[in-house]
Parts: sequence; structure tokens; C-alpha cells
Amino acid sequence: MDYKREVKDNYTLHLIKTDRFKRVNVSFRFTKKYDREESAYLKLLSSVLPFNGTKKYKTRMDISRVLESLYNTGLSNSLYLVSRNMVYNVNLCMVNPKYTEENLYSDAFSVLKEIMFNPIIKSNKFKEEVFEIEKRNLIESIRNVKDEPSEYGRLKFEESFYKGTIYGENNYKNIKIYENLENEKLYQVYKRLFSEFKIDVLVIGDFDEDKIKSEVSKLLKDFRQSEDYVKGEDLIVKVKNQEVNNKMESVSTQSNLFVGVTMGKLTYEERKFVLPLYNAILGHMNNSILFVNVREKHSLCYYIGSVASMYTDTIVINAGINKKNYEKTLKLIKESLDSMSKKNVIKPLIVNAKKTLEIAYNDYYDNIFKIINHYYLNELSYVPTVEERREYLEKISVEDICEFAKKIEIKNIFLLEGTINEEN
Amino acid sequence: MKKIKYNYDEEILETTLENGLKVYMYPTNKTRNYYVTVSTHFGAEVMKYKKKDKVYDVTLGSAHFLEHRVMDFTKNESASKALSEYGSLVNAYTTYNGTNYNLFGKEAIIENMTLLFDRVFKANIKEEDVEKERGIILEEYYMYFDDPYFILHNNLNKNMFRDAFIKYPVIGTTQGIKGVKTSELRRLYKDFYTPDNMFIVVSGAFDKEKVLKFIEEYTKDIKGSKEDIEVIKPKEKDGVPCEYEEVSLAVNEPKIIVGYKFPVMKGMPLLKQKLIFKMCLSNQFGLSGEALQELERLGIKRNTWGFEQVDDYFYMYFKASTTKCDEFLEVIEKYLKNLTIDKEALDRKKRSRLSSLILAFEDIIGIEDMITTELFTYNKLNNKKDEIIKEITLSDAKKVIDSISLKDKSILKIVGK
Repeated sequence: MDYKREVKDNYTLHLIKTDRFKRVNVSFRFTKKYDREESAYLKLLSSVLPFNGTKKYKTRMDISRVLESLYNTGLSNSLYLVSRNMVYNVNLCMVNPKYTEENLYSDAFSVLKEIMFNPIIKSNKFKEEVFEIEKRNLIESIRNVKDEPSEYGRLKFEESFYKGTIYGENNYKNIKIYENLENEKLYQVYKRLFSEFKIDVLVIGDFDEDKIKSEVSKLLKDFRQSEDYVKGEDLIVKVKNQEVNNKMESVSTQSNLFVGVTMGKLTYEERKFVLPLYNAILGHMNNSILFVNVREKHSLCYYIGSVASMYTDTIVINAGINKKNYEKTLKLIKESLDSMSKKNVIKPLIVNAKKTLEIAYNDYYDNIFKIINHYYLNELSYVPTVEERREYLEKISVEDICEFAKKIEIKNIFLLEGTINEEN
Repeated sequence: MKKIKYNYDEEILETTLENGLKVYMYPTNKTRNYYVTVSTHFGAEVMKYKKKDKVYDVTLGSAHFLEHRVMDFTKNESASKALSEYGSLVNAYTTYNGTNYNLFGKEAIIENMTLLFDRVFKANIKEEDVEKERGIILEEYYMYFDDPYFILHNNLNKNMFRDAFIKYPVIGTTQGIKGVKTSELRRLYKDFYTPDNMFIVVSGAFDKEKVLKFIEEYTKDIKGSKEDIEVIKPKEKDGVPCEYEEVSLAVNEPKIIVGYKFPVMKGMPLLKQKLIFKMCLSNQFGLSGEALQELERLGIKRNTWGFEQVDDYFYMYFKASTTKCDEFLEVIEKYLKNLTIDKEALDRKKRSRLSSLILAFEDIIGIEDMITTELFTYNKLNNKKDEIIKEITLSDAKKVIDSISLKDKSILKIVGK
């Protein structure tokens, strides 16, 4: 795999050449510092743009038909957050033309160009009908999170645990903003994509470099870049919270338990290398401490696991339980966290955890999106390569994990209380 | 080993061992990991069977319960410790057609295969472990039944079919989970985990000669045969037991699903029929379809559809989360009654299907999944799918469309409390 980074006046081009995949993927990432309202508009834009129709393709159906005829070329718009940045992503994914037809690059790019540049606009507005339908759909989709108890539980937990930070934000909480979105303003936000964002273009596959470079350059010739995004150490979000223990009633059968832990100030090495290994042992690998203690020894749940967050220095533990088992489960989680500082507990598990992480590192080379994300995130702050991670992993000792465990503090416990109340 | 050739110079190796066990391999140096799976053609569709004149009823959910106990890494300390030395990832799942046990690793493939094979081929189902497992599986059950979309499908299946396996979810019922006996699980294991009812798939980075030699050596003494076993499948009849049901749940927005069942057509290969159905349905209800466009114009955006085979019947369903249930049903019925595909659309759909075949060999889990799904469904690999797709004509499509009957249908609504 060969990587080349080319900085242009108006965008940064990342060329990742590999014959590992039979597709060519081109990802356009527009990055800007998070703004609650603008992020809502971008979210809506990601639905409106593909449906609005263009001068050449009047409806989304027409667009889909031409993409299908191009061997099912995928074209998607989405919005996601990276720490305090919002990222508008336009992704073009096609079968490598060497398996299909030579002119697939130019045809696929011309559809992309049509959607990005030539949406049907009247009086500085997208099609009124499309705007209304997509806005209504977005609002209903956001409200429907209540139909997914575990997702709804997560969202309520995060509101409390990450209060006052970007991670405490969610669309459900901000539904009023969505209700007030206006078509004319959406068009203004759309136009900002051309001048107010940092632009990265990430290309991966066994592509024809000259053709790709020429297509990207033609496509972005009218774009300008901005430096209004968060990078480096500023990406780290400090979670400042009091200890909270909340319960909320739900109509679901099962209860959802969330436990949020913080770990004070971490060094770069602790954050990038020790935290993932600690988390693997705690609740990520086969036979993690939580899995064995809560599920296997006491049959209290079907799933339990932990997720570490690289920008907040936190870990969130989640389990689906019966509410009668709440106290018992919580006690076992606390005991599990305590046991992480005991050498005799960590010693037999550390080799397993390291190898589990190594398998994930190998998997990186098999996953287009992991590779692209690595180079994209590296634009915002240095991200160690898989090989650097592998090298450092070897050096982490049982003592390092046990010392790290002493920094852990439970800060937030949240139970979305279901209706079933029987012991297993 | 026999080479099964696929498009674009891809090939899968296949062999059948003396005891009937089938082995499939896809070695590649494009990855550093490997993926090994062992599967049995024993899934939730087996509800009754005969063995030497004795008929056994299978407790609902037994195949899934058995999967939990066969994969006993978590309750077998020595196996778990050995596995931990390699950091490999293990998992298992049960479907209606079969059960799959898998291991994803990066080193020591022989040692890892030994650990996996020891679980699957030499399972030790202990009474105390079965008792402990009930609570875990019950939590899994409650998790599924907290999802309104799961309930939508589960109840529709029950209302559409009189006797077929799909009436019941793979996980079974709470009574089944609480009541299944260890002795039944042991018997099912003995009767259905026989080498001639099973297959192994290995994909990724490995030495094929060494791996095959190991499999031959390991399994040479594993006996048992499915010959005495006769799965008794109820004969599904036309008609649906319940045409309409309304369920009251605390949902934010009503949900609706409509299902149609009709017999599989005779005289055309099953795979070809399925491919054509999918192309025709997606031509109306997919992203490029007029039906979808009309639904979206009505504001019915959160909708999807699916198509599957249940014994001698095809079964298609359309579902949505919407307050406009009546309009949704009208649009579905209107487009199904006028289902059609023209030459341009057929060519476009063919290209779309061909692209997924080109990309099928991109990752080792995807390849294994393709092999296992085909074996579970057809008991053989379909390596000529691209040729079948290319040969589909408008006249074939017309025959398939004409075979659709909308007579046997059922509707299920979930309304807010």
C-alpha cells in the first residue's frame, strides 16, 4: 500500500494505492468547527441533496438509475462529528473500471458533479416539496429513537455524562432546532460548503492516478478552503462532571444499564496505547473481565461490554439486564473495575488482549474505511500508524495496566428501567 | 481438491472427506488474518424428526440453545485459557437453516482449529451449564422483543404461515428456553452434528495443504451419519391463518407490515427465480423504482421490503414506520398488481447484480458468508451466478412476474398505546 499526500491550494489529496480491493473509493470530507444549528442544516442537506434532483436528473429515481447502470456505483452524503468538528462526507464508491468499463471514472464523477453543483434551485431554495418531506422525515426519524430502547438509553445517558460538551449533544434533545429549519437558510449553508470548510479528498484502490487527479481537480476547481476547524490537542474534550446516579422509567421489557468512567489527565501514550489495551481486557475481548463476571458467572445479561473514547478519555460500560438485578450487576461491575488494578487478575489476560488488538490491527489492512479514516484523522491530529501501535503494544506491562486502573473513577450510573422484574 | 472457478480468476477449493464432511477453502495472501468456520445443517427449521421409527418433537429454540452450549469457551476454563494465548475471536449464530461456529485469528491456525473443533465435534453439554445458560438466553429473548420491528416480523410470520418453521422465531419461546432439557440437547447434538451433515470453511492467510491434512487427521475418527434421520416438515398450505392484526405497543410512530405468500414456480431453477424476483421488486420498490418515489412523495420515507423462500413458498413483505398506513398499502398493492420490467431496467439491474459478484471476494468474512449461505440454502455453491444473470431474458422475467399471486396476504399494524 502506497500513500501520497498532495496539498493543493483548495484541498488536500490523499492517494492510497493498493490492489487489495476491487473497488475504488473516493471520499470528500468537508470539515468545520461544530455549530449546533449549522450541523442540523448539514444533516438535512445530506438528505435533501440526493433527492432534490438536478438540471440533468430531475429526481432521485433518475439519479439512482444512472448509478445502477454504472455497475451500482454508490454515492452517499452524510454528516458525522469528530470531537468538536462536524464533517460533511460525500462518498463515491465504484467497481474498479478494469473489471467493467474504461469510462466509469468520468461517468461516475459527472453524476457526482451534477448532484453537488447543479441541484435545482428556485428563488434561493431547494425544491419546496423535497425540503418539506425530508425535514418531516428527519424530525420523525429523530423522534423514533424512542422506539429503540437501547439507543434511547444511550442518548439519555450521554446527555448526563457528557453534559456541557459536544458529546452531550444529540438530535433528540435539539429537536426544536430541526423543527425551525428553513429552506432558504439551507441553501445558504449548502453554499458554505464551497468556501468555509477544510477539504480532504481520500482516494483508495488500484486506481489510475492521472485520471483520478484530473477528475478531482476539475470537480473542486471552484472550491476554497477555510481553517475554521479544531485540531491537535484542542480535539480533547474534558468531561467535568459530578457523580450522578439516575434512573428513568421505560416501557421496554429489558432494562439498559450504563456506567460512565473517567480517568483524569492522560499522557499521549496512555491515551493512544494503554487505554485501548485496558478497555480490551475490561470489556472488549473474548472473555473480558466484565463478560466473565457478569454474564458467564452470574447469567445476568446477554450482552455487556465497554467502549473507550479517544477524544474524551472516558469509558462507557453498557449491559441489558432485568431491573431486579440492577444492584447485583452494578456491584459486579464495580468489583470488575477494582480487579483491574490487581496483577494476578491482569497477568493471565494481557497476552490475550494484546493479540486481540493485533488481530484488529491486521484487519485494518482489509478495511477500506478504516484506512481512509486513519489518514483523515491524521489531518486533524497525529494518529499513530498500526505498525507504531503494534510496536508500543509490546512494551505495555501488567504494571502499566494496574497503574492505569488506579486512575479510573465511576462518575455516572444510568438505568433505563424496563418492565421485566424477575431474577435469572 | 476440486477447484470451483468464479469470475475474475477467483476460485474456491472443495473436497468431501470419507465420513461425508465437506471442506471449502479460499486461501489468499491479500490478508494477514484467517477465518475458520464449522457449520451444521441444523437450525430452527427442524421442529420434528424421525429416527429409527421413533418420532421426536423438537422444543422451540433448541437449535439456538444448543449453539450456546456447544460454544462453551466461556465455561470451559482450560479451553478458554488456551484460546486466550492466541487472542483469536470466536462467535456463533443460529438461523432457520443451520448453525455456524466461527473463529477469526492471526496465528497458529492448527492450534486454533483444534480448539474450535474440540468444541463443535466433541461437545460436552453439562446439566449445570444448561441451567446457567437459561438466564442469558432469556435476556437475549427480551432484547429482541423490545424491538418493534422484530415484533412486526415475528407476528407477521405467525399470521402468514399455518405450519411452516418461520411461524416461530429462531430463539424460540420463553417456555422453550425455560423448559428444554439437557437430555434433549444432547440427543439433538448426537443426531444432527454428524460429519455428513456439516461443513468447514477456511478463508484468508493459511497453508492449504497443511490445513487440509490437519482437518483430515482430526476428523477421521468422527463417525455418525444423518442417514437414519428424517426431518419431518409440515406441509404448508395456501391461505393465511390471520389476515389482519393490530398490536398495541408504546411506539412513537405506528408501524405497518404487509406480507404475501405464493407457491414457488415449477420449471425454472430456484436461484434464477429468486434473482428475477429481486430484480423486479427492486425495479419498483428500490431506489430507482417508481413505487418508492410515490411513497416518498406521500412522506412515507421510512420503508423497506424483503423477499425470501419458505419451503415451497415465496414470501415477500413491505414495511413502514408511518401514520399513513392506508396510503402505504394502496401504493404497495397498486405497484404489485402492475409489476413489470423493461429491457433498459433489466440490463441496469443485471449490471447492479454483477457488481456485487465482482466485489464478493474482497474480504475473507464476506467470502465465508457467501459459501455458508449458499450451502445452508442450496447445499451447493453457485459459481455460475454471473452467467445465470447475464442469460436472464424479458420472457423469463414475465414468467416470474406472472407466477406472483397477491391472494394470500396478511397485514399487521403496531399502533401506539
